Amino acid sequence: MSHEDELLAEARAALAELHEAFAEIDELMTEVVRSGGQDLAQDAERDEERARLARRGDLGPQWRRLQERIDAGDTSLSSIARGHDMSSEAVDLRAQAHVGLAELTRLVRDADGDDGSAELPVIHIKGAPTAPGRGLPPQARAAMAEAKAAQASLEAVMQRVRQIPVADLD
Amino acid sequence: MSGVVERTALGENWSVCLAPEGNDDFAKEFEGNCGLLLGGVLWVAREAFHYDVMENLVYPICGDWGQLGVARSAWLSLQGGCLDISGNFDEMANLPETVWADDGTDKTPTAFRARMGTVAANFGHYASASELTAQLVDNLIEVGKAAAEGLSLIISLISETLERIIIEAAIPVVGWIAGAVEAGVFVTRFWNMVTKALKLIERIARTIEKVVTVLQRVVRVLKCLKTTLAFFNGTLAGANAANTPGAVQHGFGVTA
Repeated sequence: MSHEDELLAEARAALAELHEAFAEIDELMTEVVRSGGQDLAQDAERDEERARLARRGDLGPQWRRLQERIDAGDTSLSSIARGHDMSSEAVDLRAQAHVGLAELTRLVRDADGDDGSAELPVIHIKGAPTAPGRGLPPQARAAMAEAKAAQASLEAVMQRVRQIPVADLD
Repeated sequence: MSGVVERTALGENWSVCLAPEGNDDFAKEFEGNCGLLLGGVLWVAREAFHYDVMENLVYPICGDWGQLGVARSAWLSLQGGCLDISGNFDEMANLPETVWADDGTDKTPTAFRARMGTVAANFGHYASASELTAQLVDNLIEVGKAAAEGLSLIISLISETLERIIIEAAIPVVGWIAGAVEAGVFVTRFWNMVTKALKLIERIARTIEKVVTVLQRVVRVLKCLKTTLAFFNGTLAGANAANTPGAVQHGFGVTA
């Protein structure tokens, strides 16, 4: 086989790999659609419960007023979250969200570097019964660790792509 | 006596070889759409997860794919040009006997035909290589588009999750202020989606790695075309095509 023929064979093999890439992307997206669908279904249940509590006033007067406006079609959770709703109750809830997010930030920071395989951290208070700490559950810590590994893996490939010498052919 | 006639006007193919227009720059639209999807919620990922979604999941595939489209067209033009040249040399290899001395003593016809046949075959090879390269670039653009479509969906789900996190953070009593398990649901969801997006980007990165490596070798062999083309057309018609490996890297946005 001549050198040119070998190159053509290589190019054909690369073409075949491109077709494999399509198949793998399809497979990955099927999984994304499946899990995304499950998440949306869970959110719908969660919304129903939240709306029920809000209408009863269990979540406070601001949520009650906002729920009335949501029910009337005057606003939406998305408008409230994204800051499009400038009503005083929406502004108040977004301020409340900042407080809640500070707690989430702490939970995430505490879980950083933990792959979720260990037991939840335990708080020992002298004289008090041992109680589980309020750390993120193992699946959340495992998801964080998996994303970190995926990021590192991608960066390694990107580095290799950058280092392929593209000769000046002029 | 029959004269040598140029079977195909080469100018037709070479002229478009110089600067064909590309219309494959889907990345700008992708970037714009993701910016809209994440508008108003991007800060949540930065603040709570110390993760920049645009920087890590959107910008990596926002390279100059349009340039790659131009390269593809250049390769197709090059294929056409090579086939034309191949055909012309083939014609010359089959010139009638009357061109040469008719007493059968002249050895020139045999040598000439053999040489013309070889050149025709070489250009046939170049045409195949150019066609394959165009196919590679074409498929790579399609893979890029498929990845961008997939990433758009993932980004929309991440955007939903971030929206949801703001809402949950604003719920007193039953929110995660009351329990880290609740927060865990959204943390898990966010990072799972990020992992899927990263895997998708890695898939296209590995594909690009393979394609750039092969193109680099193929283009090196085709480099001799530039000299040949300069001879035929007085211009460096292969310039766009020769830049393809660099254009592939640019398509992925990994070069400056």
